[in-house]
Amino acid sequence: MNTWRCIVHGPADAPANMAIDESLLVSGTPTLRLYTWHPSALSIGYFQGIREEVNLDACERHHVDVVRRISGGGAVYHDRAGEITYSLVLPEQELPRDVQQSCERICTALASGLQQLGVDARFSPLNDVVVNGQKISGSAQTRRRGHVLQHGTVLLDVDVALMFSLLRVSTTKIADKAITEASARVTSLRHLTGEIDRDNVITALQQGFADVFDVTLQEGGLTDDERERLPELREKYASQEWTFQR
Amino acid sequence: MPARNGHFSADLKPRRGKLLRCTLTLEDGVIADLRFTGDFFMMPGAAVATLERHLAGRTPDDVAAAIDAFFSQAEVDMLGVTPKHFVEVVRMAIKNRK
Repeated sequence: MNTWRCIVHGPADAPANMAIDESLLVSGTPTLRLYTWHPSALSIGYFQGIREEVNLDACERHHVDVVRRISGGGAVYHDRAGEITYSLVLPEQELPRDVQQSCERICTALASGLQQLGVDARFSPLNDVVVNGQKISGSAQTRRRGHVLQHGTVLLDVDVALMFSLLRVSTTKIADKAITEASARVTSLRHLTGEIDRDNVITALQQGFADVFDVTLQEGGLTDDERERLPELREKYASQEWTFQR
Repeated sequence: MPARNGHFSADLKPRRGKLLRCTLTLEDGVIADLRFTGDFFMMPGAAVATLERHLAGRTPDDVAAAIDAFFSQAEVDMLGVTPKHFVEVVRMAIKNRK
């Protein structure tokens, strides 16, 4: 049975969180990381146009950081109290070569973890985990030099109105409609189970990955090399040049 | 007669796929600037900028062949979009002045 490193840590700000994920991707050491954000942040996909997708004034008003990810996909609101983010780094050969199949494998591990909390979680193509058809987790993936990084969110609690106020919508009418529709499509562990015990969620997610990938998780931290890369990477993610490149 | 100058844009959301948006500028009938944005996945990520540069300086009539040539040579993995979607969204954009 293989052993993966598991890094669980408290909140960090958006540039630091994305810097750590990229540093882990460079290493390629099999690693599951579970983390949170403070302050709350909106992360956008690598290919998204920031001015097309993000209400920058609302983000500033709500003290929400905006960061561009290294991975594709859509905008994700990372509430400092309402979600847990996971990232998984593996060598490519430990996953299916096909992007969709590899995403499914990882999302199946997430779903397995959530099932241990008593919710009927399932992978939903292309990159979501749903419960009763409602999204509880979304993921994004990128690959570099033979290594895969997939990261994503698990919703503990969700304020759909706040989430939508941070995104670009053209009129109040459309915003109201979008919020109603999104509320029907999104769920959270609080909504499903009535409670949130963050430690229980982390333990369940760890078990889900251990079961699906048949690995042992060993708690650990960053290596010296991984730490040394952080200042430069953090500076990149905090820069206007990176964030506003599209 | 097709437009030879101006700013153009179109969105393509394939069924069970991801949003692909094309924004481009035509100057004297040639693509002066072109951007693809959206929530699609392309790996490596830098490939999209390479594709954009590959299309700059071409006429709209040359775009489909240029995109086909790019994807036949580039080692790119995608999720939520296919090469034909890139051809289609550029065609849509050229008909849709901003």
